[in-house]
Amino acid sequence: MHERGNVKMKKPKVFLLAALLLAVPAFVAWSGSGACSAESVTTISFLDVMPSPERTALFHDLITEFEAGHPTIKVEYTSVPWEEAYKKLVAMGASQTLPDIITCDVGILQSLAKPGWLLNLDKQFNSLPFKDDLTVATLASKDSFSAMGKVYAIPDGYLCQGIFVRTDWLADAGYKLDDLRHWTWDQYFEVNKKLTDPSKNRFGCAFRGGPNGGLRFFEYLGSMLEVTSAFPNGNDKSIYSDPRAVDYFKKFYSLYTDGYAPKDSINWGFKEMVQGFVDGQCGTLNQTPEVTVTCQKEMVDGTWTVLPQPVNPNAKKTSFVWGYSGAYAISAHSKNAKPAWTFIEWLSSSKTNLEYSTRFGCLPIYKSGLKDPFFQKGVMKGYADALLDPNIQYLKQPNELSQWGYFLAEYNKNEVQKYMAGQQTAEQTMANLSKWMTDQYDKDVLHK
Amino acid sequence: MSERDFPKKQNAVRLSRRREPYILLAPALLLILLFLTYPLIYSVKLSLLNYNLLTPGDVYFNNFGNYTKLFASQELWIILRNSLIWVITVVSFQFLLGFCIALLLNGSRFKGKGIYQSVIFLPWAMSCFLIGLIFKGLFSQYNGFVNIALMKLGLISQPLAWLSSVKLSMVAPIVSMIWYGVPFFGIMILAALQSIPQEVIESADIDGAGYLQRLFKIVIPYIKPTIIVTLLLRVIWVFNSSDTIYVTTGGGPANSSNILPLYIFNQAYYSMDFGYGAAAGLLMMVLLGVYAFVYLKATRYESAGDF
Repeated sequence: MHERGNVKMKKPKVFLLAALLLAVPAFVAWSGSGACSAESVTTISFLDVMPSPERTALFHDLITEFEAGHPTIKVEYTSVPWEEAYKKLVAMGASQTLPDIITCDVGILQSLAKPGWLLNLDKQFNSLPFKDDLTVATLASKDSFSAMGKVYAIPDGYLCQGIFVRTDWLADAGYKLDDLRHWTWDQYFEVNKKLTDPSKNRFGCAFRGGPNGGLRFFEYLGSMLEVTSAFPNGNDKSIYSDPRAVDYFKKFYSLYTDGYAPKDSINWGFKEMVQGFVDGQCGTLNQTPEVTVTCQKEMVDGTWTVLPQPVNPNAKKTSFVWGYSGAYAISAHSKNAKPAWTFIEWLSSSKTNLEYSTRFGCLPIYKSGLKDPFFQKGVMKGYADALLDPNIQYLKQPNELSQWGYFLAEYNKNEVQKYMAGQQTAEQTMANLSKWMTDQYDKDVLHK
Repeated sequence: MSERDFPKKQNAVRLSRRREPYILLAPALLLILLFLTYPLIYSVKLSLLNYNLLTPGDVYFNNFGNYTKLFASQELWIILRNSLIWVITVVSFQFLLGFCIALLLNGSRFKGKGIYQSVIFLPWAMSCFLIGLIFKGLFSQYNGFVNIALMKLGLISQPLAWLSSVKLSMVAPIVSMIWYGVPFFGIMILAALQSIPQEVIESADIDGAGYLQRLFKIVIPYIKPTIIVTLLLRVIWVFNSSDTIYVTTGGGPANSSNILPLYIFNQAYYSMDFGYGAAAGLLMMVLLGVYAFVYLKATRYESAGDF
């Protein structure tokens, strides 16, 4: 009896709970339908792949500005951390759930464009109002935002590598900055060695041993071999097969194996290496201009600057990789392709692009932008001048290999980590990398 | 109604009676077919295909090509060894610590027991990604609490590279996972302990049983079904759970802390080779299936409830 009484007592509570459970989704559904009822407003989804507090705030401001001028379009901003972006976007592409607009790097773009998950933007690119003002660097790297000969994204701004240095550490080690303005790779290695003092928890290099770290060696090897492509002979032998490659490999990775980088850096990605430099653990950092924004915020003025990328003193031309940071692409399954293009076109106007580049810390896609005083002084001048230097040439990544993104993120990382951890010789590592490149070239280009 | 119609009707009733269980089972069977059998068959098909999303025009049956590639991979054996170390160490410590906590909390009465219990069970409510980040910080080589504490205690002279040494890289994820999973065993075993009738314990006391005798002869046999099920579930969950590894070491360096599900994820999503990923996924399913079968047979689960 007592128990039955208890059950009866509980009934009102159960009904209340059930009513609540029903009411919540009903309320959500009602609110949702209310939002959709404003027929004249189209909402487009926008996914950014390299969020940071500064960049997210920048996009929020740009979206507010855009929406004020375009009252019929609402932009919904979302982001995914860079380290997870590739996997997430490919999964979204495969399930046909890509947002209307995405930002993407060359690897993501190639992976999404080839299966047909992105909209062909050839016509739109050719009709850009400021097309004649595009920089030579933008046009030279057109294949990086194209796939199968067609444009699939509009570049946002350009990044090239520069070496962030601790000026106070350099002064303590007896270096003068002006002597390093046109430095060579050998000088770069020597500086890293001199700045290292493990007893003070100080290391020369904020090394990237994690995913995509192999791109820096690719760049160094390209510069030392004076080539403009990973397959310079037009056959399946890549630059990793070059007889000199093993020595250059040992030299480059001596930054880690000789102890000029923290042991933890074997796993470091973008975030960790920037943190390593900003926190005062490392004296140099090979990074792109957007990191200047973080340094300006986190570091004391006058304790750091950016030097141009080191050069091969014997080379007639310096070849290195440059590329856009996050080009804008439209999903092939987007139902809002027209308003999505309106937003991209607005972002790509010379005025907005300059504002974006200035605040994000990349180099504008327009010549007029590069001539802006912001890019002709301070830390950005080094980058801008490097890109305008007539003596540079574009080192093309082998995007013709469908697995190039996998190579940088997984295969290369694992093979090189084996060498860095002392589990594999340099000769074996290079032989494995070389074989992988040849096999993939045979499969994707020669169809053997 | 004629007399001849009567047996017919009776037959019809019998037939519908016979069909009744199947009709009642049909919705559940349909759901199982839809959500379990179809994906399973699709996975088997996928594992026999050359199916790379980056080359969508090049899909064909490559027989057992994906399996050949999988078993020829040198990494696989390192990863299987890591997976074994991972599961055995994590689940053993989680179980022992959870069991001890449950024994301590069971029957003890003190002020603030509720709050104490909630705090102990808190890790179970936390996100594995957050736990991974916390332990990544704790095990950081130069600024991490673990190295600083060990150096202050004079146990080590140089900071250890917990996250980047091939020999030590499994330690941080294992410790974080143990910390996360202890409450699960604590909660489940405590609930089982509280269901043991007090009279049984009192009878044992009257018969002169000591603490250990009571534990091994009464308590453990009484909660055996709970122990079997929780261990079975945890082994499968821990085997499948790679989020703390993903955050702390990313499976590196050189796969030294990589386990099977993370390997599959990385292979499938970086290379887009879903055929190869499906083959590795099926290997994982077979391993876990064999484990569950052997485990349930060995523990005589069907008769575990009988005393």
